[in-house]
Amino acid sequence: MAALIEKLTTRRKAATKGAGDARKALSELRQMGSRLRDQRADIEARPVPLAEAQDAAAQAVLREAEGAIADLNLSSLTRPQDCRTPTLSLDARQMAMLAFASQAEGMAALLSAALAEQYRDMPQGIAADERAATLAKIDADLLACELAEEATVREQEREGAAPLRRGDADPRAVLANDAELR
Amino acid sequence: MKLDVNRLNHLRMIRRDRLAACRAAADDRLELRDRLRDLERHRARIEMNHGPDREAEALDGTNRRIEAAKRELAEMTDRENELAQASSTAGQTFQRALEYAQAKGLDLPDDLRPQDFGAPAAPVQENA
Repeated sequence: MAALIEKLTTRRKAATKGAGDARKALSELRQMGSRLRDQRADIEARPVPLAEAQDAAAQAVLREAEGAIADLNLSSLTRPQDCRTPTLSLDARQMAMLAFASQAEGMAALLSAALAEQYRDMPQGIAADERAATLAKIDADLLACELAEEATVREQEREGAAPLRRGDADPRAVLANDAELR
Repeated sequence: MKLDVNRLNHLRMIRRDRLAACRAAADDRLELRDRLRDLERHRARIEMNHGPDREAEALDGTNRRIEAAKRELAEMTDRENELAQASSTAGQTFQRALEYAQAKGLDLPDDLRPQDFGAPAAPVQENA
């Protein structure tokens, strides 16, 4: 009898320890998932590389300058002059844009320097292909983590516990066939 | 990845169980609240009916029971809040999985398919 009680006590303790371990594993998996989601948000929020931003600024300046010149109506200068003084029919905005176009290179350099200054306080930029590759890797890790979490939840359910799934659990994991979770 | 739409039934069952537990806790809380109200009425009666010499002794026991009932009610309220939170989380898990399965066009169990009662009947035209 004593031996049986001893055996059952050992088994109960092992079961209690097992349940504790499962709870701990679930908690660690959830923390890991949370860290991965934070990493994902961080990568998504990272700016493009400085050189890319400077290139975009140069292109934007060039486009504005081209637009300023394309909008000009210079017919008053091309018509045969009679005794009138030649005039430019430009409003204030057109004049400002013309001045901008004449200084396009300087403007681009100015914006480039401003961007370089701004990037000093920003997280390091990341190129589009590197961003996509990093996000894909994080997504794969996240899915693996979600599947491991779901496997742990199902194991606990089979043992009679009722752990709560996360409200934002990945549907692919909660709907996964049992065979996918091994 | 192989998905099993029957998992939706399991998630729905969990949602039902959690909701039922939450409702049971709400019923228990209401019962406790009624018991507390009865005890307070009882105390009021003692205060009206007994003379000052016996009042303190009779009130003492009732006050102790009132305090115990108040503690129990506070605990039950906390428990009900926890169960309500769990019920809501289980509902979100189920709903997300259901919406995903619908969006992916998976073959849902009959009782989880969106109900479609057909197109509305054409209006009857007079003198047709």
